[in-house]
Amino acid sequence: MDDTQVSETLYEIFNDFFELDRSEFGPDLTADQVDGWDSLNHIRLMLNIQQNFGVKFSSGEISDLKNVGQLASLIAAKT
Amino acid sequence: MSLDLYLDLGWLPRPPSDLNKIIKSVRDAGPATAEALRGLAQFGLNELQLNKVARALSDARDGGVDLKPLIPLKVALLSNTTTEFLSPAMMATGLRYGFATDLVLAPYGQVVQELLDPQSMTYAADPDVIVISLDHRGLNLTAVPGDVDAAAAGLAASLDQIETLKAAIEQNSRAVAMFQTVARPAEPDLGSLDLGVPGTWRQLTHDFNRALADMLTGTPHLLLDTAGLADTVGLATWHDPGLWHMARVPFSNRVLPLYADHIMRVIAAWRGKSRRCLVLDLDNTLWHGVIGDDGLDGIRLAEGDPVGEAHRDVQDRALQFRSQGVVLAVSSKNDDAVARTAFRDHAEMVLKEDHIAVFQANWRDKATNIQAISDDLALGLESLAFLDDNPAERGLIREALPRVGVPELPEDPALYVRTLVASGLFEATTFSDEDRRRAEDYQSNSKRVALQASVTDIGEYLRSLDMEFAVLPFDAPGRARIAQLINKSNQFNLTTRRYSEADVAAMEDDSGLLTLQIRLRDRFADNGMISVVICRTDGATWEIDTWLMSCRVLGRRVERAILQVLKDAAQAAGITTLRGRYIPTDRNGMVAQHYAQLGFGLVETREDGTTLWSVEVADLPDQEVIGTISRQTAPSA
Repeated sequence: MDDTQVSETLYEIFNDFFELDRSEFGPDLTADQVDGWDSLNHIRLMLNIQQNFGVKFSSGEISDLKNVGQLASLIAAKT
Repeated sequence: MSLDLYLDLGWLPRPPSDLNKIIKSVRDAGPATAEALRGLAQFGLNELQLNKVARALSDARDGGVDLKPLIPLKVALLSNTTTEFLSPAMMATGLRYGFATDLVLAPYGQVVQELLDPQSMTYAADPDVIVISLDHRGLNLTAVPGDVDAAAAGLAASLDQIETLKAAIEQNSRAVAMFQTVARPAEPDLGSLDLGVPGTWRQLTHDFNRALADMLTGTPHLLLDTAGLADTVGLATWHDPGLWHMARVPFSNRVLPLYADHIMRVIAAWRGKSRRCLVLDLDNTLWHGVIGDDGLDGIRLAEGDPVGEAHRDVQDRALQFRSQGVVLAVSSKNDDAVARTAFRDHAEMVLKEDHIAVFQANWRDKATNIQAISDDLALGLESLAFLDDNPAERGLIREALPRVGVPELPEDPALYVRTLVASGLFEATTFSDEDRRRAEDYQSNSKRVALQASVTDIGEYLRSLDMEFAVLPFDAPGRARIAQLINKSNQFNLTTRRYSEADVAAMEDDSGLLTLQIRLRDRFADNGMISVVICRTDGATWEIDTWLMSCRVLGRRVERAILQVLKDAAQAAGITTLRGRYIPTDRNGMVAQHYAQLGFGLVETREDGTTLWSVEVADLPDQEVIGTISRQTAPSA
């Protein structure tokens, strides 16, 4: 899966969760910029992303993520 | 990804692909109506979807929507684990059982404090049910392999804790409590020896669970067998160590919809919402095959035949349900006398006529029949469950009688019983001698009850099926199936003329014939070839030599669509008259009036009962065809 596809699928999942505009979505987006992206929703989000992409993250990877860009790289590295 | 019966709630219909849009439209339309919300919850929703439905319910409640006829239910949820994921799942799942659930969440880990304090927010909320979701990490249990005293002390302390909580609830609240058995960790302590060694998780959880069940028996409180559920899906699937470490979530998120469903089904059973009558289809449900076509010797339910055994299992389980107080009824598209021969004369039948309270075998739609069963037994539709292998029949009942419980069934009949049981439609919170006798209270005289007016506009349902007819002349690829239908069909078969595969092959090139093979696909299934027609050309007349149809698609006005095909083909070929013939057998009484219903005039009645019919093509009105027809029927005449 190339970066565009990863990013597109990620946007759909994020939008599903947080009802984001496309303009708000980018590699620099972080949790504190998004209404509802709290620590529990972060876990739910990660669970859904793992299921969606068919990848597995370790607990460490999940808790160390800083922004959407890092998330996309992590997925790209595993697909 | 293949469907997992348990994790994906496989007994529920799959959510439509545009579910998110539907949820959104329900929310955007302002306050969602109770029925729309309830409808959304009838699908096998995943965790994310449950969340969205829960949000729609919250919005509706906040918007002051009248949620009747949903039953208001207040549940307090206390746990040693994170409940934020569980609570929306319970709210949405409650809708499935007709509840408008309101959840009160105690702060994380505050189980004892909340329940021992009469002034706590839990009691202040005056809940109907207090769910205490303690897992093995929330009790005084810890693995001490081989230490008999420590094991006994831990067990006693854990049971004391439950006793204390129960007593506190009884003192401070009118609520019933729900306690759960404890799923043991997936990792054994010593290994295979564990069950024999005191203080292993295997023994501790086993002893605790058994004692908990005993403690609750005879009390008004509810038992949720979480350990049994975890065993069913597998402990390695159940437990997710990473999720526990990250967020103190007690089990894998994949099991959340299932766990929520089990909590709510026990509450529903406690509120008297379990099903009390199982309505059974016959052909390909209780046995393999079609009794009207395959005959008494042709249906399969014998020991030693894997397909037959699968269907016998259904019968065995139905009989067991009956012994647990579930009334049995039959709704089948069949000739009454033919259907009953299986019950009377088939040596391998487990179910007998005197196990069946109401026996409806006829050709009317099943919604009307199930309504009649409900009326006769004086059991509301919400007390009925309906088991049928045919997805279109299930769809009809879900649409026409949405309160009837209709489990989806997998393709493989070997999994029918597992699916039916997994659905939990007959969940019980108490079980007494009275329950055991209840089925006897209903006279099991296998009676036939009269039908009232149709309960539903079948036409509307049929249109929703998106039926696609594919019409072809006889050809080599269809040959074997055509011959099979010609030699097997007994019921919807006007002349019961048999032709071999070689005969059929010869017809493919016979310019004196019009031959039709008709396949039907709908939104549920590809039904394959469902009808065969052969017309012999005699000048400007077609004599309908053969017209047969699979009983699986009866009641869908398929014959009207075929008549339209015939009419169009006749006009194209310059045929002016259609002649039909009905030759009675002991099986095909259902089509005695076939030509009369299609507008043919009776020409002659012979001594043997054979009737001859005729209609001028020009006099045939265009038929109302439900569905679309694609055809390649260049008339060979």
